Amino acid sequence: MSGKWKRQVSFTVNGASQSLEADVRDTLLDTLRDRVGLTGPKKGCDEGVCGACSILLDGRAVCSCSMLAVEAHGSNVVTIEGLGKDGEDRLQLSFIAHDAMQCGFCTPGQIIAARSFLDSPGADLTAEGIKNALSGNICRCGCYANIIEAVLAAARSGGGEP
Amino acid sequence: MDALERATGVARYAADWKKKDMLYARIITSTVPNGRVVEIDKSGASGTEGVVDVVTCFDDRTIWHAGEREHERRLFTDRVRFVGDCIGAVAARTRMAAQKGSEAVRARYEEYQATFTIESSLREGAPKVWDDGNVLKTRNYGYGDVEEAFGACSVIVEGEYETARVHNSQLEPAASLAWWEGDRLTVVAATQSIFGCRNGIARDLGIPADNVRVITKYKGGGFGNKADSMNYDLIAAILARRTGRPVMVEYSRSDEFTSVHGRWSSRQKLRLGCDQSGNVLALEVNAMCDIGAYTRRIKPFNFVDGAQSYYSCRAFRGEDAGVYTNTPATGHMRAPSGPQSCFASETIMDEAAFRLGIDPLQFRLRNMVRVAHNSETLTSNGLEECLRAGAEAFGWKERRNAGAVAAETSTGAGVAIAAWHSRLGRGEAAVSLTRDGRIVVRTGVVDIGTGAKTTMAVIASRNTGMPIESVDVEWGDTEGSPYSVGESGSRTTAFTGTAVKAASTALRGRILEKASGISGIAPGSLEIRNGAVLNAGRKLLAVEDVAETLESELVEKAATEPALPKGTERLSFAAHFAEVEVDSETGAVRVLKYVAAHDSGPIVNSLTATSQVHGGVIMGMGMALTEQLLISDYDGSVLNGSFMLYRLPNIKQTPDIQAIFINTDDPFGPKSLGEITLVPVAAAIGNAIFNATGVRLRRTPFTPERVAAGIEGKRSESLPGAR
Repeated sequence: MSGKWKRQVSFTVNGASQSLEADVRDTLLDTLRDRVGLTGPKKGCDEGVCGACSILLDGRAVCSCSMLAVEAHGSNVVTIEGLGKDGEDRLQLSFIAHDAMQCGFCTPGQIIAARSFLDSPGADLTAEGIKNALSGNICRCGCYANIIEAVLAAARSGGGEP
Repeated sequence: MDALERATGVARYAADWKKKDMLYARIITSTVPNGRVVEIDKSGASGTEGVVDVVTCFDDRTIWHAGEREHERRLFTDRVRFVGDCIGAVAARTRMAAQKGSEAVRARYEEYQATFTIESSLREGAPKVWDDGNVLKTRNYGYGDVEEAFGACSVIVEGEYETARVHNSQLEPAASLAWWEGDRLTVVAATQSIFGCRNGIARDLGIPADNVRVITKYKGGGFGNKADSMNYDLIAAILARRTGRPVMVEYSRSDEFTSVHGRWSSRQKLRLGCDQSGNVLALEVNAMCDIGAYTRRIKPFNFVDGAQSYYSCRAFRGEDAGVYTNTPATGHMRAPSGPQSCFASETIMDEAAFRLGIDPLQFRLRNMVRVAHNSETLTSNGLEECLRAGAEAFGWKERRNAGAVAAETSTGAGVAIAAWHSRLGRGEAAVSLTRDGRIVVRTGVVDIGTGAKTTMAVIASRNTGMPIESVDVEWGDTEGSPYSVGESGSRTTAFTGTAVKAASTALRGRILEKASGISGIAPGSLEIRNGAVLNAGRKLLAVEDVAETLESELVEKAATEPALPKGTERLSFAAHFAEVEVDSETGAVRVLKYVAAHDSGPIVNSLTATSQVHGGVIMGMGMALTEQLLISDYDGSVLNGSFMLYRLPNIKQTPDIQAIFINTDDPFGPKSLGEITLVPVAAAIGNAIFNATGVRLRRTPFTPERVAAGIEGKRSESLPGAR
């Protein structure tokens, strides 16, 4: 494997600067999991359908399996591990209080998608709005009813500010 | 109680583990549906940069015992039976090299004719999936004299029903990491049963079980497809032994659909007979199931099971068979044979009620089981209350469509009942008081998302008298854990929970003895509440004070194995109510409201129990409306093996769901819950569609085109001048 596949990539991950030599073919998800050591984002489908790999890229939820690490150069990346770093995140606590998870595998992605939704200006803070915002995150355990409740409760308690 | 770990991303699932010098493995799979591998050319793989080892069916002849019920199944097989059958594996330094290496392996096959459907497998001279034939006959079952009972019937309804093949599709793809230290093997698996997995690996590799350690701390769902040793566990172990390095096997999502079993499809013929006043006298079920090339179904159960326990009829006869085809393996999925059975029987019940002009709810109240199988006493039976309380909460009368089929959309309501096994069995637990005053529960439970850990903590808290915050649960490692049945068959609470209760009760007795020694008051006059030792309601001392006087941890172990008395049967029950809205043009079905009433005995933790009900209803909606594993009629391969094409229920489809628990007082405590939540869903929704549109759907899933075609058929029937 020669240097032709390698590029130096620098980005901010959970508030800390990261600079690493990435294979240009590696997804951002694999890079976060294997190179940065953040295994909160999960690989559920590796094709951008299930949402388990969701991260915040410059504040917006994206599927980290569907972009390359080199595309994140210069970006600000926040993973589930980066939420609630300074004290517990209200959204995470709301998920716990409403039993909005069973196996927990999709949970990091659900919370990231909900975070992105709550932070977006003019978000439609109704059950319908939440359903639309989280429709890209599959939960096979079927916790949807409690996820809606958890996000609604976080929204009511001040837009879910951390 | 581990929700914080899950919500903050620190929970470690199998694929999150790393070991120094770890290799990645990929499987090599058959490209033909039926045949024999004549030759494998490994050179392309061996020459791929980063590839460390290639193993094929010609190098390793390990038998995977849990891989097939009736025949020997080789882990790497030269006799391939479906497109996707595993013929070898590649280990490499990177994931990408393993992928490239596996693609560079060239196999040459001797191809045989293949069969992809029940019909073609049954045909005279059909291609053989197995040398001894394509049909796997199971036992017939039932009670009473069916022919005599049908003779007494004035109304007989017959119908054919089909349920599609569906897939477990738990969100965590299979992953297994294995390494050896001398002759000791450690496997970080994503299993539902650490002991089943350990024992299976030991048996398949021919090594003592004590030399195998299985660790599963978190598991991203399973729904039945991870109960024994799995082939990827064995592949990781074998490659690790060959290379002397830790090996991680990871499945992709498409591997999951092809190489990990889903639920078999069913085709059932039913006959149901009633007398003129609507008493069901006889029911007969004749089922054929497409079980793929391998069935991982454990003996001795049937492929369609459950309906024999729903009703009070005079006679029941069930006959079923599995039919092998050159398609992917099938096996356990949440209540393995239950939803198929319920869909057919609860649909024909609805048809009979309609024929007789009896309200479907009243029809069930009249015919529901009271004495199991016409001879066995039920340990508890809350089905009538499920029907009544469920109907009340749902608003049955108001939501039933009285016959007005609107032009654009119409709504309707349906009901379905179910019963499911609630067995008793072996459980082991150790519960102790540590010197710093904490309760530690040790069980072999794996938490796959059912809240088992929390449930065990609640049971220990209640029975020791200690607050839940003082209870720790150690779990998920065969080293140091007592035996537990796996997280399958809805059994954890009933089996292991019983042992936790016994050990906790014994520990409370020991703590009280110690407290008596300190206070001088007889243990019988003491009690523990919320961490305090009380005498006549007054606090004498804290349990922590007792703990301080201990020289070592105070341990109580319990092994329990309660048995049902002869002539009794123990079942969980459910009555589900669905309201749907059907778009008359597109045939799209939306579930508006859903009430699920359950009798699972006394509920230990209503929060997690409610979540189990939500999950089962959502999964059942998938079976009813969108899920279907499509099999190619060209080569039997999976056509829609991705989440893009295999449609799982989405948050937008979530109806208003209400769970109701009828806490019957069962003498053996909590009954099963996890599986039955899914069993009646497809029937309830199908019956609601009939109420909304007059269209009777006898095949799942109820896709828009099937519903629309049914509505179109109704319209042309009612056109003036139509035949």
